[in-house]
Amino acid sequence: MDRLISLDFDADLEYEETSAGILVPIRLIHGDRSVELRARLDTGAADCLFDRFYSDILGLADSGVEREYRTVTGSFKAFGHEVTIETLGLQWPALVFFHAMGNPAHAFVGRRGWLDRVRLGIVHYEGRLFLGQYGT
Amino acid sequence: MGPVVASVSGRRGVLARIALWRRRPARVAGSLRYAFSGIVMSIQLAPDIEAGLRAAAAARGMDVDTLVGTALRAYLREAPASVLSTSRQAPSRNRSAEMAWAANPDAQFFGKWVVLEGSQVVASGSNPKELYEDVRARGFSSPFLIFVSPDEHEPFAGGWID
Repeated sequence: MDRLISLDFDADLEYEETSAGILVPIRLIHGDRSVELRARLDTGAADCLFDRFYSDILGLADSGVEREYRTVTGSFKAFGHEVTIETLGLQWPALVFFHAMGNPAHAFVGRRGWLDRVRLGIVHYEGRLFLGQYGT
Repeated sequence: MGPVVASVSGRRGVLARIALWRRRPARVAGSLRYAFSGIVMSIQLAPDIEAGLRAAAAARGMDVDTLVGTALRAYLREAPASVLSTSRQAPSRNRSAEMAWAANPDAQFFGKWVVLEGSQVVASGSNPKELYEDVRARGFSSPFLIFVSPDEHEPFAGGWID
């Protein structure tokens, strides 16, 4: 039996298929400072994670909510701060994390702080991503 | 003193365990910190709020665990929309040109930080903080600032767990 599910979205993105994965534009805001970057969409990542330089740029303190992350090859430490995160014109406050030791090549948006705030649709064959506010 | 732990129930069953810790002396008064670890939420409260919770619980003849659980359940019942929808639409710039450049960067910028404006590199260097301050002074209030990795096109497998 066919089942029709209707979803509404507020924005869409045409992304390039690369070995790096699906990269989305992100804006981080704290106070009167903001910076834009791109981050890898990673549904396997528990949190959103960015390089420590971005926390310096935003004027965030060295300390924060400390977390230790496990990976298949070891572990690393990161510090969490509450910032405003923006993607494709949608904006919300979130606790995001910054590498303690620096890792400029890898920025992630993960489940907490990003995926749990949106409705997400992906048609990977066409390189299209759709995003809507959750709860509307 | 150890934490006061409270279980909070929601529509999916147990949503979070709240741990109220005594304020550490080094912390700034009035600050509120929280961290998520699995489904455990830890909140550090200012001493006056913590004392108020303890006094309110004592006045009602209940422990803080029960008081916090009751209060949070009532809050979730009364304000479900504001809890579930914290996002809003905001004007934003189309960064498709910057994203396209970053997907196929100029090799001369490998290993450097760059500020992009459309498909143009307006600043580059090894110190992102200096770059940021420089372009802010030039009028770019929210610069698109990224590191150009030479490993960009190598397959990536993710792999950090929690």
